Amino acid sequence: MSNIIVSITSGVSNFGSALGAFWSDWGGFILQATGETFVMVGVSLIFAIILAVPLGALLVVTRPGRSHGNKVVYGALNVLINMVRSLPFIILLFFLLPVTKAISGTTIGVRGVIVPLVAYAAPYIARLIESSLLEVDQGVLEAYEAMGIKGRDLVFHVLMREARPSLVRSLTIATISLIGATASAGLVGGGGLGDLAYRFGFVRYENSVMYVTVLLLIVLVQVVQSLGDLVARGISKE
Amino acid sequence: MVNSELVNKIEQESGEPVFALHNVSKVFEGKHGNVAALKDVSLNVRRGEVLGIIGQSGAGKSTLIRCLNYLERPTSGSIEFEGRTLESLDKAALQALRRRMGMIFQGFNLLKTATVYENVAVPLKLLGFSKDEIHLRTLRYLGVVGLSDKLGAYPSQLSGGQQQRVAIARAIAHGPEVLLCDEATSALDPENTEAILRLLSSINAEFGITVVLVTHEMRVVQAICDRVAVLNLGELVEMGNVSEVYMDPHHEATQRLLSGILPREMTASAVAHLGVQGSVYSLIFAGEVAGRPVLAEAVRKFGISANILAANIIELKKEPFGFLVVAFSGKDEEVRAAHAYLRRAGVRIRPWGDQGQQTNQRQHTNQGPQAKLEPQAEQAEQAEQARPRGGAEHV
Repeated sequence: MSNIIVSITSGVSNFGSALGAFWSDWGGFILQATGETFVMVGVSLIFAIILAVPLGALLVVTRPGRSHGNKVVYGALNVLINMVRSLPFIILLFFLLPVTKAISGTTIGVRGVIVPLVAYAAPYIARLIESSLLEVDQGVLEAYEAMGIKGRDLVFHVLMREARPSLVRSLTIATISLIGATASAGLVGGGGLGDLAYRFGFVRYENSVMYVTVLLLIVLVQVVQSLGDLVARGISKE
Repeated sequence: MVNSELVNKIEQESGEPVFALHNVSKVFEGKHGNVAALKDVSLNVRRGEVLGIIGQSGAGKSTLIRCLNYLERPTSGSIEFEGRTLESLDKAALQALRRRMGMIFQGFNLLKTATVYENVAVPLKLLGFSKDEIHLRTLRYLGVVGLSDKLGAYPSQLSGGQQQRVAIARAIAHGPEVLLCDEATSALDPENTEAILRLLSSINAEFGITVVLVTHEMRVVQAICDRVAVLNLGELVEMGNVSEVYMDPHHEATQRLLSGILPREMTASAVAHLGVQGSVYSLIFAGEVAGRPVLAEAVRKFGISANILAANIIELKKEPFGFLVVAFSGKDEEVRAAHAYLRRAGVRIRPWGDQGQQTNQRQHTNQGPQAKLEPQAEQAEQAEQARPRGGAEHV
């Protein structure tokens, strides 16, 4: 009996010391990589949203049959967005190297990967915003139009406002895709959790690093999704 | 600018119409050809009145009311709002005019993610009211519609009737002169319908807001409307004071709409089936006479007998309205004298079966060649006629 207890405690303390050893070897790398992932996702998300909101709104407003239906503008936007979205992120990353160099001044590291991440996320988010806004009941817009409210206010204070729960859900999806995309950023030395898993876990056969990274990514995605759901449910009053 | 304002002012004071429609037509271009939703509709909406626009579905009534605030642009014809032709206005001017109107809808069209308070306050904010003013108006008008205790509720927590009340508060909070109601009670149960109609009526009386409402239900018209316009297949086929139209509906579309309320379609065969002795007449009592026992007096005075085959008394907005089908028997001269007596008392008497044969009498309608009935409607009508009235009373 006492033998068993001793062996369990020694097992636990062995595990504890193993964890301690792992942390002292890799903790710094993991923390840094996690930080890099947050920076890449956060910064590119902000820029992507700034680009995507007007794009999404324009797609809805210029859609034929809508208030400012315009086949030319809508068609052009449509084709442009589809073109960018046709490219897998990894291709976009290399394809955009000259553009990235011109905008960021560098093509490596976290800074070097922001431009392709924005280029990847913005059209995607624009599409998500478009579909969220299209869900809004036309009748509500009509009610506001009938009161003589300006077109700009209709978009930002009625359409966007009423679409908030759906917009939050869309952004949650986009954020998770971005986390996935940042993993590829390791290829241009962008850093982040994906890069860590690739460089140490895969190239240098450090399996434990691979597992921990995978675990962290899973936790991160779960947290983002749960947070998004929570906020969306809070705003939605249906 | 000064001139047009002056003209508007003069018109307002001299009781000119709020809306004047001249030959308004609307054609929708569809994949399966064009559909004429409105054909040459001309009518006026008078200041302060409650005007009902009624018709079966597809009659064009929603299109018509949506043309009034240019949510729908007519294909041809002109619409004037207080003397200004809507067609000539640019976007900003049209928005400015729309701010003098309010509109409510069948589907309420509230912000689902906003509270009752916000649903009224948000438009006021977008219309540029000051903070204090927004607060005052929101509370005041939510009080008018009886929702002062629901300020923090969300639309999903309210009944249909309550949601329509919020929509009404929203539609009148900015102080419009006209309230447009597009099938506003069609999604509501009878109780809520009645409550909303009472509310609309009191808003019309208290705030002097002109109300134009579109409906397919005659009981909505009879409850609150001063005048009624009947649309049939895009054409205005009849228009007049509600009691006039009830007393003497000319167009078969109107008669069809009224058939649920007045037992007009009781056919000769049904009368024959009852084994009626004597001559059958329809009697219409409108206004003050409906409250007096004139038929009983006539029977007593002239020694005739009156067999009531069908009867209905309804409450119009301003007056009670009675409709009887009576078989008179007795000496000919006594019956004639009794008729004369009843007519003097204000009762309209007409041999039964005479309705619908004197079209084109009322002058202020633009009755064109009568549109052919849809086959379905015709069948429905025949079916209706074949069924004996359950409501007939024998005295």
